[in-house]
Amino acid sequence: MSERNATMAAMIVAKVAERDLGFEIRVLTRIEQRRFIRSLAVNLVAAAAAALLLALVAPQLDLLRILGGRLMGDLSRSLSMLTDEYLLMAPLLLAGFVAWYSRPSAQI
Amino acid sequence: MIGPDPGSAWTQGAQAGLTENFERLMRLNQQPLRGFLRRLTGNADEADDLAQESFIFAWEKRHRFDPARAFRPWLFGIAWRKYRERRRSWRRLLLQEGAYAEMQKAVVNADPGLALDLAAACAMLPPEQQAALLLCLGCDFSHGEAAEALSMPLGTVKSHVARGRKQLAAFLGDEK
Repeated sequence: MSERNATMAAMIVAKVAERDLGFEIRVLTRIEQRRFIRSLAVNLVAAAAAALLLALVAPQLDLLRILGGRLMGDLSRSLSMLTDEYLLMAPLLLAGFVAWYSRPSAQI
Repeated sequence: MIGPDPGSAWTQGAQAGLTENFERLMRLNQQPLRGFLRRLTGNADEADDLAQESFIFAWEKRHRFDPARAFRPWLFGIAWRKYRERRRSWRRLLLQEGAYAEMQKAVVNADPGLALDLAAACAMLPPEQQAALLLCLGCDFSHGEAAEALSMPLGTVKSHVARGRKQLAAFLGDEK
């Protein structure tokens, strides 16, 4: 049940514009700023996590040996060495895909 | 003008992350919300700042909103909580500076026979009573919606409105 009183209703909206573009823009700007800062923070954390993961895992990949083999022209040997590393490469690829498609900035 | 709660499509769209729908909800509610907060705070800048924070909070926590309920009480509820948080910090600040006691004395000693307009008379009511009165009489809220917005039991809201009306009538000399 509403007890609306015309005088009180008029008092509330007195001196407040029915449409205030300045106010709306300020709100939307602050929303965008927060969204940007949050997505920046999330991306920075994700980048740091990825860098850490790579720093831990990359030394396990014998890339020098693989590259060396390719440079020497023995491509099949290089590829076989690469596939030997699948236990490291597959989780890395999977983690990369998951991180990319579930990153919060893609959903905000 | 204070219109009815649009609910449905705009609210659901805003909840799904559609900024245009949220803009519409903001356009529809900014006037009553800012007016409500201006009456509570007595300061237009402070009220607008609180209104901005309330809209931002509503956007960020939109997933918490239950679309089966009305949007307006939820939004005003956020604004009311923000106002109370800020009032607590104002009070703390004023108490620290020793000014709050002086201000309270001035309110208590206000001349009851003084001719007051409605806004000044409203400002003399306790905030909870003032909020209930503003929502029910000024913003077209039902008692239930006001109870939801102010997180108060329905009976408390009804009693605030009834007492507030009486006090206003007394302040204004039964003019309204």
